[in-house]
Amino acid sequence: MASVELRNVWKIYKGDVEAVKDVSWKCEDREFFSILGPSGCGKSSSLRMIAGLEEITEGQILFNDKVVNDLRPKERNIAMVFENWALYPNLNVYENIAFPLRARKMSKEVIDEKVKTAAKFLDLEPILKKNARHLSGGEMQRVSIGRAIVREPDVLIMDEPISHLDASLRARMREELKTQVSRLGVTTLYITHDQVESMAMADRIAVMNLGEIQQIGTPLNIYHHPSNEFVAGFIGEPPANFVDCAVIKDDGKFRVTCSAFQFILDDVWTKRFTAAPQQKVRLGVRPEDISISFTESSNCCGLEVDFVEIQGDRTIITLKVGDQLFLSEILGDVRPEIGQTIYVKFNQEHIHFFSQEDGKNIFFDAEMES
Amino acid sequence: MKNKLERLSPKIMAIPAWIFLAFFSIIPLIYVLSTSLTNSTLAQPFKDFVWFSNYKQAVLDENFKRSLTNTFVFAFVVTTLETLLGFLLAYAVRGIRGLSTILRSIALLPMFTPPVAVSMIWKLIYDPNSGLMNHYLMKWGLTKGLIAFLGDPKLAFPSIIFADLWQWTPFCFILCYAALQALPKAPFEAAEVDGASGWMVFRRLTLPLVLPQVIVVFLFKLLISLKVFDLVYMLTFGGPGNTTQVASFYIYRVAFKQFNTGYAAALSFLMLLIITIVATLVTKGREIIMRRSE
Repeated sequence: MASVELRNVWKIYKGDVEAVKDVSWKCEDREFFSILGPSGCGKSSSLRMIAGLEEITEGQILFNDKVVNDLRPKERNIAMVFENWALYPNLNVYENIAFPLRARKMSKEVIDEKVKTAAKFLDLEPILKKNARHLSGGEMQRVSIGRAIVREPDVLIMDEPISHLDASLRARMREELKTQVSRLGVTTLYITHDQVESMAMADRIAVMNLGEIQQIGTPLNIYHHPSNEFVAGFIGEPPANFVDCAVIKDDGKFRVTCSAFQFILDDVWTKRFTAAPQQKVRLGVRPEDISISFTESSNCCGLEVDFVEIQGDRTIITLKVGDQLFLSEILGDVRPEIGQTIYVKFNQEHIHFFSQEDGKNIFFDAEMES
Repeated sequence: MKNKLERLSPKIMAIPAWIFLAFFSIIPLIYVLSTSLTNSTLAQPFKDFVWFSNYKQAVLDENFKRSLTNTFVFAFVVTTLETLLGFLLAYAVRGIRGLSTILRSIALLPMFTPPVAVSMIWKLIYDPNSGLMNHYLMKWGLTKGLIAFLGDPKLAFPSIIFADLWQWTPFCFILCYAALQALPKAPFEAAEVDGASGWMVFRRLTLPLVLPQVIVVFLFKLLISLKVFDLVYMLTFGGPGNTTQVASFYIYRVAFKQFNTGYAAALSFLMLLIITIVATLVTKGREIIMRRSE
């Protein structure tokens, strides 16, 4: 077992492509740590450097507080589940799982015992003799996990292991993967672009974009207290809404106004804005933090309905905010007319204010304290 | 109307290919077959219909048997060596980045050179009096006297084989190199992470994955080698004696030196049958290997 730490790691490819920029984080022993980000954010480069498949341009990678920069992949005692599973296409399931053991020159009896145990664990016994070429997606995935865990690695690295499966299988695999990995109790690095996977499985998430770490934290922490606009927009489905606003102090209260609406901030926000006055901000609010009403009440904003999407258990209502659109997610079956004006309120406990210049969450520290 | 046209259109589109095949394969084949049943000479085509007497003669022809043996020994030796060498070379340089374009160009040079020119060059190299080979062998003290490479019955065949290696190994190298480049990268990275040694990766992954393509290279080169003519014609003219007489050269002699076209046609047809059988066997062998790896 091992902890994994990155210290100021850079990866610069030929032609000055900066794939990973000054990334530092530490994944504790036995932690399920997820790196989340859109494609091209540098997550795969990070992982390939950790695995030793890619050279580190600058910085250090440490396993158990020991620098492993110069160690070859096989000396790091890691196991990897590849994006396309990368099974050995000419070998059968048994030989695929036995491969890392044979590479370690274990005896036939030991190999047989370990392969059979892993096969039982992953429910692969009936297909042990099947060729890797002829497996279904789900089977390939389990074989590649089998191959990864059979030699009890210090660190298990998974690169988008289930993104190529279809939706229903993916949902089941999320559960299965999490169960299997926690049963093994191995340090796990899980790379994905799918925020649902990260949220559902990880102990902690590192959100990456454009080669940089955006935020590291527990899933709920990141969800409720995004450090910047990117994180707020990337995590959550449907995505959060953003609109540029002015904050005006008026009679001891703070009023948020934009072209389409205005509302008065509650006491918590008043305290924060008093401590750090801001005038131009960008308001961020998640669709589920918008509540609607057909009648006007105090401190609500009237907005025109642009579109209504019925999903059965919930309804997604698109609202016109100036020339922008806001999505709101309402539980249950609500049917406003298109073009009708409805009255919305924002759940002020979960709204955020970002800087219009650099997108940072202005009150991130204050949010974390409360 | 439209349906009929649609049904016919594949056939219509195949017409150019059929015309090509007809002119270059089917009509010549029929021509050879019918010539082989006659006592034709170069001056008198289709003279005397004699049924299968040419074939009877061929079966008993010691010269033909000798030349067939020579052909097959030559073809299997050069093809095996060239495929092996080409593959090993390709395997050795596969990982070197930026090398591929330079290597490709260099490797293509012997193939761009006309066969007659290649043969001329080798004739000069092998020359017993002023050849480079003798010059260097003496200079490095490997031999004492001058050697007549092409005139010695023991050395003539190996000399032709050596020239063929020079000319054709690059062909096998390029095809093997392409096959190695086309292998999926991921399983090899997985093997690296799994801690496999270079030898294990080669034996358990590279070789099984690339073998079907290498066998195709072998088959290609085998078919080319079975037709070998230019090197023999230019270097030894079948000699000394008839030690380097290969089938195509013997057929050439019968047709254009003895003017016995009817008999030459029969020999050609027999040669075609034998090559077809060999090619089928190699293809079957490849299928068996591929099925075993499934």
